[in-house]
Parts: sequence; C-alpha cells; structure tokens
Amino acid sequence: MEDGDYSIRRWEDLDIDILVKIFQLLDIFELTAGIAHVCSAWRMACCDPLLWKTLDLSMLKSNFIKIPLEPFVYVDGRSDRKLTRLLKISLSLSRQSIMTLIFHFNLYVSDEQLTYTAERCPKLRRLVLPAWNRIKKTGMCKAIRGWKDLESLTMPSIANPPYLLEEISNHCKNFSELKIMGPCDIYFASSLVAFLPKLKVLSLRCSMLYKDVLIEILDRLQHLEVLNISHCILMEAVPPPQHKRVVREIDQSIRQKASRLREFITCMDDNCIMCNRTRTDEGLVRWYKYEEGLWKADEVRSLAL
Amino acid sequence: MTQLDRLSVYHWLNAWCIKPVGGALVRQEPEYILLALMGSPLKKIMLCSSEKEIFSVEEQVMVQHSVIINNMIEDGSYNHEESKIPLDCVDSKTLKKVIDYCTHHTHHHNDNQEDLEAWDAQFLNVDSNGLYDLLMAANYLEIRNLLDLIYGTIKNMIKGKKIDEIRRIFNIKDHGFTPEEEEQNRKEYPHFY
Repeated sequence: MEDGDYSIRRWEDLDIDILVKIFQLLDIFELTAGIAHVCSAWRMACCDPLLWKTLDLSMLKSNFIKIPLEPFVYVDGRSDRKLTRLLKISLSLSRQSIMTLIFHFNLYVSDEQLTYTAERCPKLRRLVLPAWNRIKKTGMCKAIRGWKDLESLTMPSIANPPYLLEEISNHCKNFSELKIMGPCDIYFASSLVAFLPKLKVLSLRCSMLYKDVLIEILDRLQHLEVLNISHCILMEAVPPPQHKRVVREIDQSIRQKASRLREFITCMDDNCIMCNRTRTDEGLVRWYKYEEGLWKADEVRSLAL
Repeated sequence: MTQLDRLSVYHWLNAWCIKPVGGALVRQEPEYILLALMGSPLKKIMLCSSEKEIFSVEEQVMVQHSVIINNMIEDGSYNHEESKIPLDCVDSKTLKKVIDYCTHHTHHHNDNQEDLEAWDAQFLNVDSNGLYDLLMAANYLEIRNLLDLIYGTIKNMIKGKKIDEIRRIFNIKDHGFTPEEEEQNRKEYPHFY
C-alpha cells in the first residue's frame, strides 16, 4: 500500500474478517438498516454466519391491546409490518445460519410470520417464544417439523400439550431442554412423560406447581438431570372446604426423589422478591409489571438469556 | 517462555521500576534473570517505515502492544545490535501515530478510565484516510486494544447513517452491484438511502 495523498483507501475492499468484527458491534436494527446495501463486499460480510448464530429480537414488542376474545390480543398493523420487514431482512442476510431465536413475551408473532421464519431457520437449535396467542396448532407443528436440530424450547403454558410434544418427539431427536413460562399441570406433566421421556432439563420457575405434579415429574422423567422450581408456589390438594393449600417447605420424600438429579433448584423464601411476586400474581407472573429483562433470568445457566 | 509469561514479567519488573534487558528474558537461566534484576539501560528497538524512516522506541512499549513485534523479539529473529524491524506496509505518518498510541498506553496505563478514553477519542480524531491507515497498521501489527478502539469508532461512523452518506464518508465510489440490483434495492428500501 503506497502512502501519499493520491492513493485511495478502498473501504469497500476491507478484509472481510475486519468488516465482520465491526458489524458484530451493531445491534439488529443497525445491522439491517441498509449496511448490506452499501457495497457488495459489505453485503458479504453482513451475511457471515458469525453474525447470525443468534437472532435476538427480545427488545422488540408488539403494539397491542388486550381483547376479551381469542386470541386475546389485537396487534396494530404497523407494528406487525415492522416485524415482518425486520424478519425479512434478517432471515435473508442470515442465509439459514440462525441457531438461536429469541422473542419478547409481548411480541405476538403471527402464524404467517412463524411459518416464514421457520422455513428460513432450518438449523435452529434453540427457540425462545413466550407468546403463542396468534399461532395455530398447524403452524406450530409445521415449524417443528422443519427444526430437526431443535434442542431447547422456551414456551408459554398451553392447554393441550400432546400435539406439540408428539411433534417434537417425532422430529426433534436432540430435544433435551424445556422451559415453561407458566403453570405445569398434571396433564402437561404426564404428556411430558409420554412424549419426551428423554428430557434432561426442565424449568418451571415462578409459577403455581402442585405437589403431585412435582412427584410425577420426579418419578417418571427418568432421564431428567436438571429441574428448576425456583419461586414456585407449591400447592397440594386437600379435602373441602379448603380444596388446596400452600406447601411451605419441600419435605424429605421429595428431596429423596430429587437426589438423583444433577441439579434440583428451589427457592421458597418469604423474603425473596421473586417468590413474593409469584404469590402476588397468583402463579402467573405478569412480567410487564417488573424490571425490563427480568423474565430472561433463569437459575439454569443454559436457559438464562 | 510463552508470550504471556514474558509480558507478565515485564509488568512485574516495571512495577518495581526495574528495566529489563531486552532479549535476555527469552531464556530462563538464573544469571539472565539476575542481570535483569540488577537493572540496565532502557532497551530500544528500531522500526522502519515504508518510507525508510527509522523510529526508535522502547522495546517494552512495542512488545506489550504488538503481538507481531513481541513474537519477533521472542523468537530471537531480532538482534538488538544491528537490526531494525522493516514495516513496509506502514508509512511514517501512521507509524508515528501507532508508536504514540502504544507509548501513551504503556506509560499511562494506571490513569483513570475517563482520561484514557478522552485521550483515545482525541487520538482517533483523524480523517477517513488516516483511520484506514491506522486500521491497516494495527491489524498488521496485531495491536488488540487499538484495533478494538478503531472498530468501535468505525461502528459509530456507520450506525444510524443512510447508505448514500456512508458511501460518501468512506469514499466508496464503486459499490459493486449491477445497475439493476442497485435500482431494485433503492426501490424496495428507499428509506435506507
């Protein structure tokens, strides 16, 4: 490279590794705002797999209102289109290299958006999708069918888990980690036993959990290694008139059953802020009331965001 | 001695105000360590720019910052008495700035964060040509912290700007797209331009 004022510094010919290192410093909005259209070399750098291992859209929320009928939310059209545009550019640049996909709990992805996204992330290993209001069973199944490498799912509690778990069981042979952001009832637990017997990691933190469900999980998920029930309100069924009561501490028989686990994570402390919040919110934590990003925490390292 | 060990020993000796004898610390024989501990004049090395200008700089300064120079001295290919390190892809103006950066950061590494950052900001207050040359030099010499600083600066120059403006700032005249592609992009994403 010659010196002097006449020589031209060709920024468009910068080494691609250098460009990638610079682009790694940009957030998703900056990265998709036209950088790829500056010149062909920059576009090639924008498509580098290093930039697309994780697509983190957890700073994006839908502009929505709650409605009393299914799907219980109405998303403003402009907000929807914004997400579609962002997905379109990101998925195009990512060239199928995305392995982790993260959405905010107030981002109500539509069925079409999910299908569009799933088709373009065939190598997905981890999905964090806390809001399924607008997603149909058929849409979710279709997406799961395309995710052969899926290992980890963070999902809301759903009423009818078998369809989902069966699909995962048939198509995702490496599936091992599940986080349910909401209550896990006996139906869900027995569906897990039926369809995902090889489950290794399960997080049910910050929700209402019945003792018999906990026992079912500990007895029947033989391959479970990590169980997180931190800040859960542990309940047990009792005869009328109470019908149910809060269990104040984990008894010895449960501890005994849990001793085979590599990690049995609990927190049932009256002084714990999160335990109190779960109690206040009656087992279904309203994350929007609390600090931004609180929902991302998990005592299980592989599940924390 | 690995590069890390060597740098750690330099820092340790520096903290005790003992100037190490350049190549002696490559070997671990006790008499060499003793020589180092007894102190010796500040060892300098010669760097030669593409314009054949020679710059004399404390060996310790360059070794702490440039992986390439550290490796050259470590593997013994640099002989203090006669050699100079030729840097054919770095011109004098840029080399002087690089030496400036390394020297400041070595001598002021105990300064508080704000002061260092202010100095860095002033240091990188150059035009895009100067920035490019510094980037090439830092990349070639593998000066990690200078590279990170430059990456951050370039990132700030890019973010939030429209494509036409970016092309102007970085003097990108030939975008490499076909006329059809360029037209299609402009039509599809007019707000990016």
